Amino acid sequence: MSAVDVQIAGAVGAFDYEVALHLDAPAALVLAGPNGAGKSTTLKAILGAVRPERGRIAIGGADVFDAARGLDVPTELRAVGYVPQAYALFPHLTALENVAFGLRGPDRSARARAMMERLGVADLARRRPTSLSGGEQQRVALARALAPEPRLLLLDEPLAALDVVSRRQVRRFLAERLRSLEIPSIVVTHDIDDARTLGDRLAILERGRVVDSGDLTSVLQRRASPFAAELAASAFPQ
Amino acid sequence: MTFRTSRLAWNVLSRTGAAALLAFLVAPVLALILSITWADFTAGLAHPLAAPALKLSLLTSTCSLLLVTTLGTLLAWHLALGRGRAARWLETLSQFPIVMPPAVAGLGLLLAFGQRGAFGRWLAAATGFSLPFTTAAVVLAESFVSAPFFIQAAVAAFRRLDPELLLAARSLGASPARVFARVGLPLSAPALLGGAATSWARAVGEFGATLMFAGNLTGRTQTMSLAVYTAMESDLRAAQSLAVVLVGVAFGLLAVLRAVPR
Repeated sequence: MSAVDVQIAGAVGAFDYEVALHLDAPAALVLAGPNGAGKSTTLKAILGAVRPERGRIAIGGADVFDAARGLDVPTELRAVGYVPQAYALFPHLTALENVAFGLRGPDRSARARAMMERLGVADLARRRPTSLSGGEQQRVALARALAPEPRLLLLDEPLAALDVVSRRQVRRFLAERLRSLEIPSIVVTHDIDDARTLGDRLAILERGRVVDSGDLTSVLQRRASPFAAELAASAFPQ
Repeated sequence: MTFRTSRLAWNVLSRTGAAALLAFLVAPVLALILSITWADFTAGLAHPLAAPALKLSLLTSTCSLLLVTTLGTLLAWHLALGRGRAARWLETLSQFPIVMPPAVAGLGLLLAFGQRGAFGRWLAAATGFSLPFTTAAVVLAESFVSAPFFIQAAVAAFRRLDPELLLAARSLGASPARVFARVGLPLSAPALLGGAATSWARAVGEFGATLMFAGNLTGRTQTMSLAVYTAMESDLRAAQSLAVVLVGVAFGLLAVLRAVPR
């Protein structure tokens, strides 16, 4: 059984999409495509912030959305970790309070601290998000998303808000982290370097359709679309 | 006309116009404050109308502030998060009291909540209580005219919130109520405070709707603004003293509004 199974279709304004994605635990899937391909819509649908017209979404074998049955589990009950593009750390809370936000119980602070230690940001616990660098914010956002032990992790353009130098460092850090997770993750990106480094599985989305998907190397070799060809060209320079 | 003279003409004309309007806006305030001596001011405040009006204004405006901020925050939250045409229409509807003449508002309140009004009749039948010409009617009139100012500020503040912050909170297991209380409310607090100050100022200054719906009864429905009007007929000094107190309150609020970060 797939750990994540997405088959959705619908329209947002004049844009219509029909997306199918399958992912086995604990792989990292990169969902790549040019701007406006429907990557964010797919991500929001998995999160429960966009309601598709047709289809089904299952996470860890349990349905969270099924249009035919009228099932639509609210976002807060889906147990999907989310790291938004600009991280969306709560500016009025410290880094530790951010990480503890999704935790309950008397040991929430200790658990949040432990997660921050795992991601190497324990020393930032008392800092406010505005005083952190882009790379630090991203680690704190990752710690926050992972702390409640989600069944799936979603990252939206995780490196887009960073400058070129920290981008390279954070990309390496993130690629290692995602590969060591025990849950599946989906990384959305339009950046070619991110697409070929952050996951082992790749799905290419163009104009609301998945034009190719599979393991990274075979998708790159097939060059099923102009975007895929461009990806391949940068992955295997002549 | 040369470039130099046209520039000079613009400077003179625009600055004269700006200064004239500013002087016009400041003149009544200065006249109120400068044309009264300290002795007259304290004597005016000793007028029998003053103390009950002060007390009543404080009581009713505080009650209406609580009513408006509590319910207004909830309404604004739903209006700000609501999508589509319905939310826009409801927002416009909530702003209606701003453009409604106060006397018309008073008449409307009387017709809705008076003994002949639908709600007033029901209330009288159920409890034997009649709203018009009571202190509660003052609170309602003040709430009616002041609520839009708070709602407007609160909707604007909630709309400025980054939707990704709210979505991130939801993804962390926060219920809609928790997202509101832990993210929406604290991040919008300064703007809500500003809106509350403006709304309170409008409630304190309320006159027309209160007069129509609640009357002008000393100690019961006669607020500061109404007392200024009543005192004018008998004791200008008392009217002016009360007016100076209201100006002081307004200045205090302006200072608060300027101090609140936007």
